[in-house]
This record gives sequence, C-alpha cells and structure tokens, in this order.
Amino acid sequence: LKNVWLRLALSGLILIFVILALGKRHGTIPAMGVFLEPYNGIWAFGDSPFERGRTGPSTLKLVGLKGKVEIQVDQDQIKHIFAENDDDLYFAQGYLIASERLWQMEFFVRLASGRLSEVLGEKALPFDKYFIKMGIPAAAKESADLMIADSLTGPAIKAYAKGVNAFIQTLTPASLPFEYKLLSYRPEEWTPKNAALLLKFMAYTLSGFSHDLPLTRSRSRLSDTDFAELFPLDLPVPEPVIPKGTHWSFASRALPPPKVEFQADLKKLEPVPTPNPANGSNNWAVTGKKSTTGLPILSNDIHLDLMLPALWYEIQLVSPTQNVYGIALPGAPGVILGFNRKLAWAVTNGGSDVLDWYELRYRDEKRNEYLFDRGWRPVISHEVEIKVRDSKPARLTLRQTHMGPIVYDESETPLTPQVPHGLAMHWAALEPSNELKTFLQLNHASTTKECRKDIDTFQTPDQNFLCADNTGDVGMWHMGRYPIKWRGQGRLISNGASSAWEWKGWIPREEVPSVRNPARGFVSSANQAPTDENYPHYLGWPFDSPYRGMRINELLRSKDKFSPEDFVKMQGDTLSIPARTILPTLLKALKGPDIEKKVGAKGARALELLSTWDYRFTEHSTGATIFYTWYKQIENRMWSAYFPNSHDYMYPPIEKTLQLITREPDSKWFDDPTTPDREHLAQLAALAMKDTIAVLTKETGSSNPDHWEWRWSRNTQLAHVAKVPGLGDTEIEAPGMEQTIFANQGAHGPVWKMVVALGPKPRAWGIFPGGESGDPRSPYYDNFLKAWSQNQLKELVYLLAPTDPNPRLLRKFILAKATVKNSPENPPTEKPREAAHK
Amino acid sequence: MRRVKPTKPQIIEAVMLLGVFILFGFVGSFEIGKSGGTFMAWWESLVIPSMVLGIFRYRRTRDFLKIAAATSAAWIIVSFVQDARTGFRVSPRLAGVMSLPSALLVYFIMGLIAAVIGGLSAFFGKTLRDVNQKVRPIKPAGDKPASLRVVRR
Repeated sequence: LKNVWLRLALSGLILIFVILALGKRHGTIPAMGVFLEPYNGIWAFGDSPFERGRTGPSTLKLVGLKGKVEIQVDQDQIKHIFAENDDDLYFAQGYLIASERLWQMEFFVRLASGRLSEVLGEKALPFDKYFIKMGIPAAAKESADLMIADSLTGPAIKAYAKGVNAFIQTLTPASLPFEYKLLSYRPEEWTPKNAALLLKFMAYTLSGFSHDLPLTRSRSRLSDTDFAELFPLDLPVPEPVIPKGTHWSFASRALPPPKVEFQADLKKLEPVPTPNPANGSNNWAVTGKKSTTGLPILSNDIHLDLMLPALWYEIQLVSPTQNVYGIALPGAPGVILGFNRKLAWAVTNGGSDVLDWYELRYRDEKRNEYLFDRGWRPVISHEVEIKVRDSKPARLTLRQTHMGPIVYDESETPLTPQVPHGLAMHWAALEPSNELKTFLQLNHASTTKECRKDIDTFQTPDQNFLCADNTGDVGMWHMGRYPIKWRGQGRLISNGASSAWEWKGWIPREEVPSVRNPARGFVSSANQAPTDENYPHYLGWPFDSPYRGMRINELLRSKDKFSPEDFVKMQGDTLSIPARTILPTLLKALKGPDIEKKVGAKGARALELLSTWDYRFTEHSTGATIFYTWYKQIENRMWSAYFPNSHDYMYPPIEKTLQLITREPDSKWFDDPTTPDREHLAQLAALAMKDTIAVLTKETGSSNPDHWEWRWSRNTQLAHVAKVPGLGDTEIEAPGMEQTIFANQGAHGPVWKMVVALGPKPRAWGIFPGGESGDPRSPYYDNFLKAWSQNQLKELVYLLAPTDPNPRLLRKFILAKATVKNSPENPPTEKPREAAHK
Repeated sequence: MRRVKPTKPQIIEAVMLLGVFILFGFVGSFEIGKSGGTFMAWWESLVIPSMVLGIFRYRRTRDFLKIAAATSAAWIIVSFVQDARTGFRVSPRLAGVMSLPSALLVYFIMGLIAAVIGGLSAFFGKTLRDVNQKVRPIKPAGDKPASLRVVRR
C-alpha cells in the first residue's frame, strides 16, 4: 500500500509541476503550454467576419449604435463604412479597427503613457521612465481634456471608444489577438483619452528630436571661424518649400541675441533617446494649368519607421456630413490623410526647431533651486509609481522647471546617447493641443480656403500642409506652433540661467510661411527649409537636406502637363542629386593611367562601374552600392579627425560637404591632420575608395564589385512593432535611399503613398507597406508589401453610396442596433440581454 | 428512507477522489484566472482524457507510450487543421518567434508537450486505479477493467 500511495503522490506532483512550468512565462519565453495549446492557444483565432475566407454572420447587433451601419469590404479588405450619423460612424470605425489592430493600438498607448512595464516587465522600464520624464502622459492628459470638451472631437472620441470596447467585450481566449497570447495578457478597457496619447506620441515621433547636444559637442572642437564655415546658419536653400523671392509684409519680433555665446558645460552633457531624425515625407500638387485633367492633382508619401502591423489603417468613412477616404491612425477617429469629394490634403514634416535644451545652474548640491536672471527658482519634484509585471513597482522622481522637465537628472543613466542629462527641456509639444480637431475638420472640409481655417488650430508636430480642391485652388502652409527666437537661438545648448535664451511668445498664424496657387503651377515640400533667407522669423537649423525637394521640382518643371500616372511614377523615382552633383568631380579627381596603383584592381573596377552608373538607386544597381559606401567613407575620412563619431557629434551638413567636394578640392578639410603630408580631394577619395572595397567585401561576403547590388546592400525590412522576431518581414527588395524621392532607408521609408486627381468624383491611388490586418496569421497582414516595394499604387475604391457598383467589392455587412434593458436609451420594458455582442 | 452507512473503503475512495478534484480544480482555477476566462484551463482537455485512458486502458509500460503518442497526435492534428485554415501561416511565424529553423520543429515541440503531459496523466490515472484496488480489492474477471465492474457487497 505504501508504495502505491507513494507512486500516486509522486506522479501527481510531477504532473502538476510540469503543468505549472508550462503554464508560466519564463523571461521572454511565453507559457509554452498555454501558447501552443491548439484549442485556445496561438493556433486558434477569432472568426473575424470582415476578413475574406473567414466565416461569420453578415449582421452584427451591437449595443451602443443609434442606427444601422452598412460596411462594404473590397478585395483588399478595405472597409467602406456608411453610417446614418457621425456617432455611429466613429463607433463602427472603432469597432472595425479594434477587430484588426487592437493589440497595436493598445501597445502604442502603453508606450506613450509609460505603462509598458505593466505587461512586459522590467525590460520595458527604461522606456516607461523616458516617456514619463519627457512629459508625454501629462501633456496628453491636458490635451485629452481639450478634446473631450470640444464639440467636434469630444463625441467622436467617445463614440470611437465605445466601438473599441464593444469589440473587446466579444473577445474570448481563443479570439484574443496573437500578441496578447504570446505575451500573456489581456486588453484593458479603451478610454477616449487614448486618442490624445497616440497623437502626442506622433508629435514626439515627428518633433521630439534636437541637434542641440551633438552640435554643441562639435562646436566645442572648432574655432569660431571654422564653426561658422562648417555649420553656416545660411546653408544654401536652392528650392525652399515656399518659392524663393516670396515677399513678406512683416518683420521679426525677436529680440537681439545675447552678445556673448553661451558655452555649455560639456562634462555634464551625457546623452536621451530621440526618434529617427530622418522622419520626413514628400508632397506636391499641380494646379489645373499643369495637369492633364484640368484640375489639381496631389501626391503624398510619408516616411516613417517601416513596421508590421502597418502603422496606418486604410478606410472610407461616410455619413450625412462627410465622405472621406484615406488612412486612419489605429486608436483615433477619422481620417488623418486623404481626400473627400471636393478636397484632398497631404502633409510633410515641417522640421522647425520646437525643442530646446537648457543648462541649469543650481544653488547647491541638493539641486532644489536653480538660478534664473537674478533670483533662485525652485525645482518642483514629485514621485510617480510605475507598475512592473512580475516585480515590485518602480518609483520615479519627476523634476520640473518653469521651462519644462529635467528629463534625466545627473545621477541617472539616459536610455540612449542623444538626450543630455541634467538639462531642462522646453518642447512645444508639451503644450495642451487638439490636433485631432484639425483632421476631423479636414474630413468635412470642401475648399482650400476652409482647409487654411481648419489647420489654424494645429500645433505640433509642425507640418507642411498641402490642400487642393476641385475648384482648382491649391495651397501650402508650413503650419505649427513656432516660438519666436532670435536668429540661431536654440541651435546649441541654451543658458537656463538667463531670460535672454527663453522663447518670446509664438509666431502669429498669419505669418507662417505659405503659398497659394503660385505662378509656376505647382507646390511641393520634402522637409527642406521652408523659406529662403528673406523670411523674417527664425524657424530652426538645420532642416532636412534639399535634394528630394530639388528632384521633385526638377521633375515638375520637366513637363507642361502631368497625369496621375506621372505622379505615381515620380513617387518611384530613385535618382540621387548628391550623386549626380559630386560623382563627376570624384571620378575626374581619380582619373589617370595609374588608377590601379591608387585604388587597386577592385577599386579600378568599382570606378568603372561608377562611370556608367545612372545615379539611380535601383535594386540591381552596383553603382548605387559603391557610391553610397564611398561617400560615407569620404565623409568619415574628412570629419572623423575633428569629430570622434557621427552619433555623439554632428558632422557638417551634407550640403557643406558636397560644396567642398565640387568647389574646393584643395580645401584644408581634405587634409588628414594626423599625417605629415598635405592631402587634397584626390588623395582622400582614393583612400576612401580603398576603404569602400574593404567595407563592401566584408559586408557582402563577395570581393567582386559586380556582385554588389543595392538590394543586397540595402536590405529592406519591416520589424514587428514590439520587435518580436518572426512577426516582421525581412526579405524585401526595394529601391531608393534617403536622398531620393522613393526614400527607402531599409528600416524607414514611405509608409503611405497616395495620388489624388480631383474632379467631380475624385480618383485616387494608394499603397502602404503591410496590409489591413494586424494578425500575423492573416494573408492581409503584409499583402501590399510586394506592390509597395515596386511602387505599384492600387486605384482606391471611392464609393459615393453603399449601393455604388464596383467589381472590387466583395462582401457587405450590417452593424445593427442591439437593445439592452435598463440602458439610458432603453427604459426597462424590454427583455434583458446579457451579451453586448450578439 | 433507510440511511445506508458508507463502508470504510467507500469513504477512503470518496476522500481520495475529492482530494484529486480539489487539487486539480485548484490548479485549474489558478490557470483559468491567468488565461482570462477560459471555461477550462489549457491543460484540462489533455489531462482529463489521458487520465481516463490511464484508468481504463493502462496495463503495461508500453501503454504509456501509446497514450503519449495518441495525445501528441491529437494536438498535432488539431493544430495542423487550424494552421491549414490560415494557409499555413501560423507555423512559420511561430518558428520565427521561437527562433527555430523550421516550422516542423514547432509541431515537434508541441507534440512533445502533449506527449509528456498525456503520458504523465495516464500514469497518474493508472496509479489512481492501483490505489483504488488496494483500498477496495476486487476480484479480477476477464478483460474488463476493475473499475467498470459492479461490485456486490
């Protein structure tokens, strides 16, 4: 008996141990039993009725709807929602987007609000601390109050949240989105305030960077003359957003700059993380006189981090007040970029400097007071608690000055090396704002004139808003909330002890750079400087390099009339103006019979390939790979002797480097100060070519320059939003680079391409990298990728009514009102119903 | 109605079964709470049938392997069907998530989990039967499992 009991106890304990071990997460390894179990685990998925091939009812009854909503689904799984009122429209939008992107929406909300650690554990804590310290959750809270109080955005975000929650209520363990199962947690209730968090996060992505710290470091290594030469405030602006020579009828209100330049204490300036400074975009439009249709045609492609699930959700929203098509931000109501029957709008990042860092002079080691003008001001501190999964809550001390937060205190280790610690930050995005209002108004707008009025409330991130309507009116506004600064203010770390470095109010909206129906017949922007040097206000330095803008304008001047197809083709353009500018000079500098002696046999072959290259960064081009690497090596050889690296220090802008190569081949900047000889461009280019051969041989694994195709060198990849391996796509061949119109940088590039031909009924084309679904198991997770990589835009299905015939429509669904007893809309006379979702 | 006083073996059997149910119920409810409202914990659909198989069909050591193989096959077949519904997109993604070189390894790992739990559950079931027989000895008759027979007292 004893043995049998022992066996029973032992076998039972081992079984329980195995079950518990497989039911628990171990670090990053999910609970394998729960995860792989075939009935509710990762293999199971919800029967989304909206996806082709899945089964499900064609009518869903939802509590919270006021009337009937019809949804047409086309063959690309784009949803066209027809509602009887705006509340139902946003409710349905929330429900639909949640049904495909719930995890992604919630992930970004958690990221922006500093709550990722609650579900991901300690490894997410540095990110949470960073976003909380940057002030994003606090700023979003104030903005959310504005949004809720507004008569347009308040009802929209409330209805949207109801729709999202109606979907969340339908979830079962089997139908939970993939990532929830993988990371073992469940979605929480969606609140209207989440929209504000997502929009503040977008403001961070597009304006939360600063060159102050790396430029201050570079400044410390140069004399006044050299700094003025290499980092000139007046960089050449061959093609500003607003055409050169525009007359301005107002003067700057900025005070004169302080007579003495402030020199920050570099010992204290340890590095904070910044978003990708290459975040940018292209937009352009021709007026009727330059279009084949006789009415404006507009183009937009916006460049952000490439990711899966896709950043955007394509959708058509129709109600009695609007019929708008475009891309929505999962988590926010309405369409962010797109068109309606009469108006199309497009944006590019403005890039003006709205974030400055201030060095503080503390009274004593306690660091509780700092000097400002002639008095001491208190640092206001308070503690917050961050919940951490499987661990004790973390406590965080937030310190605030009158300028803004001290993001990292001296004793803390910053997340990445770009944010200085011990400094106070003044960032325009922390002001309460309601950017959603601008977009919802644009959804309803009819004319470019209305567009101008609607964007007046837009604050951050500043954007080049382009609007075109079907009466032929076209306009571009560099719109945002810009501080009034003296010329050059905020380029370097500023003096936090003096009011001379403070912002002096805001540039009036009527004085922002703008252009309407210019004589040249087109408007365009590509993140370059918005104006020439005659614009009275100082907006920032540096802006993005001018080459994409130059190429766009060059193409727009190359023909009298443009069709939508021409615009699509332009979006796929891969010609590099920097390559075309400097390559002839470089080849000429190395020309001669002893070329093999200078650069070796492989170098000579590489130069041969470059001599026949067409300056285009196409997938199969070897010249593109060689030029790109060669330029990087030239840049390194020129500047690394002065600035230890290009991350902590800022190298001179590309415009300056190109200018030196083409115009000053004997400049002192080509000389290597570590050698006794005096080098010129020719010597430096030859050495850089030898470096290029070594680098590419190592990178590609081939020593044959004929094998160095751009597609191998610049591998395009879309990582998963949470960087989960296996859920991204890594083997994509796509052309382009940062200086070409098709601005593909591998992990960063056009995340939405759109061309709209305005007319009695607009025609439009578009594509985005990814697909409508956020479920990695769905065929619609990444089905647009191939077309995107080949610049094949699909014609968008724009419906005027749900009954509009279109061969690409697949299926129709109805969302109908369900009733619940005791709800405010339904007095307790009907039979009670438990489930919100029938 | 005349009240029948339970025998000592019946009390022991009842207490034993109650103990098993409380134990597994406790573990199950803990798991249910974590997985967010499933009717059954993730392992129950595997453990209970395997335990029943162990009680009724486990005779020799090789039965352990048979039951383990059967539970493993059951999980693999259900998962394969689910994978097929998505056009076999799940297993390659999972292989990526788990940093495995092949989607087949995903099935292998899953099958292994099912086999281990299924086999252990069957063994536990068999031990349960052994204990029951010790507590309440039954004269074996033919091929019928002891627990299926009616015992006259």
